[in-house]
Amino acid sequence: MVIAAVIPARDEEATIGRAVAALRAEGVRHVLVLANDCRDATVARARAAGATVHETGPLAGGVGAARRAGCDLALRLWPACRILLTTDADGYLAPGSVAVVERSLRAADAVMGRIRPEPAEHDALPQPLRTLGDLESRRDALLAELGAICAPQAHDPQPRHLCTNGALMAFRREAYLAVGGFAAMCSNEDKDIGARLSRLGFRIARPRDAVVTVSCRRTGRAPGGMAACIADRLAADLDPQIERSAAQCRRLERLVVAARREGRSAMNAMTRLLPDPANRLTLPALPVPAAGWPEADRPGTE
Amino acid sequence: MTGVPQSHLDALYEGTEDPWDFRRSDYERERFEATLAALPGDRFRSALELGCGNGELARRIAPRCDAYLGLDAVETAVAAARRAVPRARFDLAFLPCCLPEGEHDLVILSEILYFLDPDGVTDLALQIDARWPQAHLLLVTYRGPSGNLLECEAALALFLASLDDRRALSTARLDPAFRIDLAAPMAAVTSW
Repeated sequence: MVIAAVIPARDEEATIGRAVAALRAEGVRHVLVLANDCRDATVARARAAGATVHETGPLAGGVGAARRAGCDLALRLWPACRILLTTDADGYLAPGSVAVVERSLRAADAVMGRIRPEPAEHDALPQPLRTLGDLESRRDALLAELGAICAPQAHDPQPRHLCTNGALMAFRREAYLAVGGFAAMCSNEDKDIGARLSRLGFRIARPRDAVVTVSCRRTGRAPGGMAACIADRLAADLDPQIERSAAQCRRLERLVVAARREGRSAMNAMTRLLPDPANRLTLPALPVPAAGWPEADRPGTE
Repeated sequence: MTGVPQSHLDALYEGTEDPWDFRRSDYERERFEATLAALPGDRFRSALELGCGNGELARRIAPRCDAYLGLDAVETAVAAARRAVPRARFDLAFLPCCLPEGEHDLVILSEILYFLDPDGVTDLALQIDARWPQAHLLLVTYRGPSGNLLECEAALALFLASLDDRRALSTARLDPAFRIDLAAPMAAVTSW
């Protein structure tokens, strides 16, 4: 199927070439860069990498408006395109992602890609921040797997993920048009279209292997992107949060292990499987060990 | 945050104050009755319901509580709830948020967790643990596809996995279409 890809960009000369090249390498013939009031070399570098570039003055609705304008234009420029894909100028698709998108869109109306932090940046983060980020990724993977087991859907097979991010989304042309496209919002235009698609009954797939790599600023793990949250994280003592997140993962893991073995019926036993085994409330007969509770499992310390 | 946005909650109530047909559907009536039957006590001092919708559950449970506070993100829902149960209190709130004051001994989370994202679910569990360690928690959860980021029982599992170890978990009702789970405070369990 013919795919058109849209990348909204605003002064992204350092990364736009890589973003376009990754799409071209995946066999995407039509790549449109919507250059939103760019003052640097974004336009030249996008063209050099093989994109069609459309330049605009500053758009009032920020990234949502740029994404919307780009998608409108791409659908007009390439009427034969059946799949509309959008990504970000500072990200790049992992090899194989476009094939996964195409396969998913045979059964689904829209595909959400998984975002992954830039490995080099991730490795350079302070250890506690990295640990917490990894635990949260683990938690989300466990929740996605539980979701696929307790609500299996043919259009969204395992393995799934939990991202809804404009850094990688794709739509069947008619589904994109039917929901009215991206809204011209300065932020969260991605969450908005995701919610609209599901409310109107369109089938969304979140295949784990449709992957886009983005800066840590954007995954919520480093300064600059989700500023408030991240500034908090850098300043705070993360140990309590790490301990809590580790406890969530430990507990969810037990449920997931049972669900892998027994399928959906494991969910019936959720209230027995989830509490930590050391929990004295669900095991009232268990005496407190003479040596005391193991540090990590002591009740009330999480 | 990647929970269901406010605009989409509002859209659910566009042109109706009963988007899930709570008032007429046999299934919903059965679910409400099962919820009432699962209440872990006869009387409660103060109940907090997160995501109260149009007050159809409050209408049934409030008579058994000295005080009842329901929260919902949608104005139409809150207004309908106020009309349905005039003696209860209903406030507009988009979850997760700082939960209101009160000496609650019952916290009701009926069909609400899967509208939130994982951080939102965790946040609610932490607040409830920190502020009402002595409250009973009553959780009602649909078992079909949520249509949201989190599937229903995955959101429930995350909530239960986020509670500290001071509550005992149990399942009060397991239907093909919905389930009812309880988290009882330590005091209630040790008196068994």
